[in-house]
Amino acid sequence: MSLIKAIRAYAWAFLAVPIVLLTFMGMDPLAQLLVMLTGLHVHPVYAGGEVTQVINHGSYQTFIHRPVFDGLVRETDTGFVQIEWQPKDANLPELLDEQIDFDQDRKTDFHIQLNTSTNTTTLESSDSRVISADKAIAAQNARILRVNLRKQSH
Amino acid sequence: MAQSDSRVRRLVKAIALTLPLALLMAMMITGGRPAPTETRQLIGMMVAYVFTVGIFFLIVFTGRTHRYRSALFIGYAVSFVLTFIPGLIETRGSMAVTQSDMIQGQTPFCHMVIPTTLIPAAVSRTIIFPGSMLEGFASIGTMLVLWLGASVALGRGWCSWVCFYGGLDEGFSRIGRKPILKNISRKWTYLPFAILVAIVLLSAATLSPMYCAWLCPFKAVTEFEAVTSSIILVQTIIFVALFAGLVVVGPILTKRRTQCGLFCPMGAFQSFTNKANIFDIRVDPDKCVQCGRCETSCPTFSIDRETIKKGKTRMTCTKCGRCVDECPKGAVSFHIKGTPVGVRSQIARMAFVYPAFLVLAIMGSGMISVAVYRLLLLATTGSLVQ
Repeated sequence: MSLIKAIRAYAWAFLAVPIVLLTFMGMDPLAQLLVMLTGLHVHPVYAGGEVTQVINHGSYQTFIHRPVFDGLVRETDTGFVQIEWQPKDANLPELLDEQIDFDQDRKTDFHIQLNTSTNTTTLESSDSRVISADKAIAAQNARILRVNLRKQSH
Repeated sequence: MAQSDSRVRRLVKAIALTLPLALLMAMMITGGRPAPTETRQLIGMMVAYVFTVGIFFLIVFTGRTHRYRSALFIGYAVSFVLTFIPGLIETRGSMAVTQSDMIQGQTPFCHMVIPTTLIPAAVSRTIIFPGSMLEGFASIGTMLVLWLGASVALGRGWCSWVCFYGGLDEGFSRIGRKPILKNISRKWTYLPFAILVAIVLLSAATLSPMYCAWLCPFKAVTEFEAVTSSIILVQTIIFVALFAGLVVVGPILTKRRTQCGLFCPMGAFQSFTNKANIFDIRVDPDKCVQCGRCETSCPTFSIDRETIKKGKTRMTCTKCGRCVDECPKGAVSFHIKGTPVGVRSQIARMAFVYPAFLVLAIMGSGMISVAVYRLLLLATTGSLVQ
């Protein structure tokens, strides 16, 4: 019995080298497999949530993400909606002016103006769920903005 | 004559065991591509190759593990810093990670985050980190694969053979001849477990990697959030203070790895993988003369009188091999669980050291190669960055 146990132990120990080699040689495909099998993804608090609307403005596009209220086990009372403006070729216009309907009920939820030189914003809320806007973030030629929301209208 | 025969036998054995590693390393370090034409890059690659293969030869030939592993491990950590910071400056313009980098998922993922991501990953299959799952440098997926593979193969050997930070406090712990602080209560060894529980729960509650945000000493030598508010300023002061205290001063005063042994929650988390791993360190009570050298030399406070009586180390053992090297009677040895203690211990040692060294050499040689290149760049152009 102890001999069988020892053989099993040595066999397992000598597997360590192939495991290490497999880890390095197959790192990228194994990472893809791991992500596919587990369904792991970056939390929407960091990734911004899925894009639900794309508005074409000719020289640039506006990407509106879904509102993010994701908590650990239930939704949180406050969240945000992420908006991105991406130029198609060169730079974005000096002033971006956009009516946003993030819940797609065909009513404007807020009106945002973004100065792309200073990344400052002016927010006009038409919905009580809209709280405030963070400072816009420059990402190469694009601009990303998070508008803070509360879950229920009061 | 017999001594000379034994030396020749050891030499032949060392060459025979080093050759496959040398071939593997040649393949790994070049990535199967032709050697670089740029002279500084070529020199960097050759230095890294000769250094790692030479270290392995010495480990096999001398029968000593820790002394040579330590040289490579420290070189690896220093090279990591020398590689990472100029790399950040080249691609990003500074060491500071900006809101823009984070929102675009461009923050490199590091193994220290892994414990804090566990609960959200289990509950909602999400990773609470501003990185990318598969794209870019140090993606979450590749770091998870590296951690899983190395943990299965080595258990908490990770902390002495894989972690690219561990060599920093190990390096400082080798400064000075004798420890100034000797009597450290064993109660402090539970602190990493307490920090682990706290950060895992707090991270899940706040959906923020709390260790990264507040406690990681290595932020001081890698990347940190751009100081744009008083909160971030406080965080930055904490990082620098912890680095100075735990990675520099603590190791110099105690000659131990104080960050790894008394603070690191990733190390505490990694201790549990030791339970499932096939390799451990055992003490043969029949050979032990109770000299206590293993206890006083252990960098992570993982062996003491109590554990020696049981013939074991604590679960926090990082399998660095220092106690094995220090024991004057050969009572402490690498061991494969399920086999008799003290029997064929050289086979057990090589069965562990081979895969462990492979990970260290593959990771380390890449870093050392780039670090040597950076130093040559500094010497020839006056700058570490291109």
